[in-house]
Amino acid sequence: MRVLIIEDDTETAAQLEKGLQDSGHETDLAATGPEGLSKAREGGYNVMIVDRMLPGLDGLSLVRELREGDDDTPVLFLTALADVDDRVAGLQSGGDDYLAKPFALAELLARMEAIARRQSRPSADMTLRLGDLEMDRLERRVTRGGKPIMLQPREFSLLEYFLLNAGQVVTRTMLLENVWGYHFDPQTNVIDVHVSRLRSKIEMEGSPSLLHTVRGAGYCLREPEQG
Amino acid sequence: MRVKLIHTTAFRLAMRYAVFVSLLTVTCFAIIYWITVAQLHSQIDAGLRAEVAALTRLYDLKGVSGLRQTVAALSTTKSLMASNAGDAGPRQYLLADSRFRPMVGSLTHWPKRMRGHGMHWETVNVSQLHTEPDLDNDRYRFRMRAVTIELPDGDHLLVGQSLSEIIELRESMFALMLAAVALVLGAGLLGGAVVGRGVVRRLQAVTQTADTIMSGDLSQRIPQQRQRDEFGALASKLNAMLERIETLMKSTREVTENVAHDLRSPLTRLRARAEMALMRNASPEAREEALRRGVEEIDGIVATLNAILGIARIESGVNREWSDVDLTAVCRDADELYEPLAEERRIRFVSRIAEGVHVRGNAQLVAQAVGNLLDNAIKYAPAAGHVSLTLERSGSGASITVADNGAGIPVEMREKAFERFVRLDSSRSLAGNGLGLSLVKAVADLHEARIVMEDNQPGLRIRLIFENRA
Repeated sequence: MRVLIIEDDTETAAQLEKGLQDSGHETDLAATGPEGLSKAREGGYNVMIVDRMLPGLDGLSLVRELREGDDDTPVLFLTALADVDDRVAGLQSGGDDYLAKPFALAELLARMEAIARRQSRPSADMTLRLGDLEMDRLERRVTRGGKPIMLQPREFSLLEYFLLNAGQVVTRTMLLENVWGYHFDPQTNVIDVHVSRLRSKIEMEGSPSLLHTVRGAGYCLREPEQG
Repeated sequence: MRVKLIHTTAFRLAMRYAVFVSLLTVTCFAIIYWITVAQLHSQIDAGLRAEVAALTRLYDLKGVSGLRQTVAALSTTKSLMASNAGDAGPRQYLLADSRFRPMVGSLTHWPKRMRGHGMHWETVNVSQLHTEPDLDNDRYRFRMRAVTIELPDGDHLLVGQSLSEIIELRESMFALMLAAVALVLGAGLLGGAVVGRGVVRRLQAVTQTADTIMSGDLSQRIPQQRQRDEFGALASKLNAMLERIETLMKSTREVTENVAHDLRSPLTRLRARAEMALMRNASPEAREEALRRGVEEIDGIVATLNAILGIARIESGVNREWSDVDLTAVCRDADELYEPLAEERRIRFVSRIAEGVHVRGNAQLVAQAVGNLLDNAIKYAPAAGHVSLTLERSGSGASITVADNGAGIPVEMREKAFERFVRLDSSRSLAGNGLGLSLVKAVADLHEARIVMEDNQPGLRIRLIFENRA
């Protein structure tokens, strides 16, 4: 993916660039609001990472201007402010997701890929499939290898989210926000328990496992490697 | 800062009012004057008309000579002094020939403006002719209302009445008016001064308190005033505000101290680990381990920092975005979120959730508080113990109860449990930053909900009681 990073702190920007390049992305850097806006207007980016506080033109205004010009490149806001209110302001101005500093690189990558994919593939499919796992979203039925799997409503939503982001790393906070709608961090890692319960339901004897734990990042639902 | 008397609102208001009343007084006087003068004028005119009629009749009976005699008699000083016209002042007479040359009468000239034929009314300045030598001046000018007629033989008769009465009236009314205005202004000045001084004195208490507070003593309060007037109300409102400010300041200070205290230990560990990794004889595995634990430590620090800031925000009342909170849904979600965790620890988790319970508040915060309570209960319940979550209506509001059968909290420790960073188990074997209950308390305070801690025999039972004010 081609990623535009608009961030005025040079060290953060350099680390972001390195992290993204190590994960196989192409990056471009802008250090001020106006520079970022003109680069963004040249187009050709799959996703933009925008710091909220920028010299010249702040991140919110920058994105608002882009959106007014019918540019709907996905935007991930970075911020030192981590309040729900700030989140809301960020999303209202046209941002697609919001991440508070300091953040784990894995979290940033996971969220960035999620918003970029959401853009390229609207999830209107009524049937989601991964290997021999199949989900009928209309009938709310899940089968693996043709055998039905009974899921609680929340487990269904959890699996649905994994399927929509299949092949991508999904972090615990992403699950909390998108599956449970909670914008706070529960003290204990309750999410892990839910995921392991879901895993035990969708794993089958003799079939390869699909739901993997990615150390230090989160989870990933992906097809078993061939061969 | 002392307020000068003339700068007080009370004084300025009193002065403004006094000026207004003065203007009103002047207007009243003007109206009264105008009405009186109009009345006097019409009285004078009526008198003159009657006099002219009488003299015309005399002329008809006795001819010019008779009229001459009468006019001469009426024009003597004595009769002029005798004020033959009653209240309206002395009358003037003049009989002149057809070319307006005076023949007999009390005036020196026939007024120039009245040299017409027929009947003619005018107000003129004239000079009186005095025949008595003992008067200082034999001539002096005055204003007079006069009527002239032309007699059938071509002679002219003038009857006039001096307006000195009206002029005197005007002068006395003017003096009276000045006195009234002076009185009003004086009273306003005095009243304003008295009231203004009172206000200044009552506000002195407020300004003095403000001075002490600004010099650093936040515990100062404005002395309560006995009168239950607007100043009393202001003082108690200001005191309430000061109370709130002091609480906020205190909580800010506490937060700062706690941040310093609770971040110091993980930072110390972090630093020690980094130093160990830097040692020359450290193995690559040990270095990697140090880095990995360092990242974990930093995550912990960030989580703690976020929790502290979150609680501080709740306590400051910033996120008062009130909406309808579906407590039933909040509790169901919490139940659903924590049930697998309880199961994993072999804890029997029972929930009893009433249908359709709503309160006003912030759903995210309430959810977080309920989550923290469940988290604690599951954490402190013994293996194979039990935890319960209950939502029920209570009165007009609702109550959420979370109970466990763990060790509980001794009565004397219960208040302390809500303080930040307090972990009652000194072993620190369980995870958590000691902020869970502080957050619950902050959320409860924001929602004006009560927290009750009870003995579950054994274990702890915490009730959050919401009053519905909607």
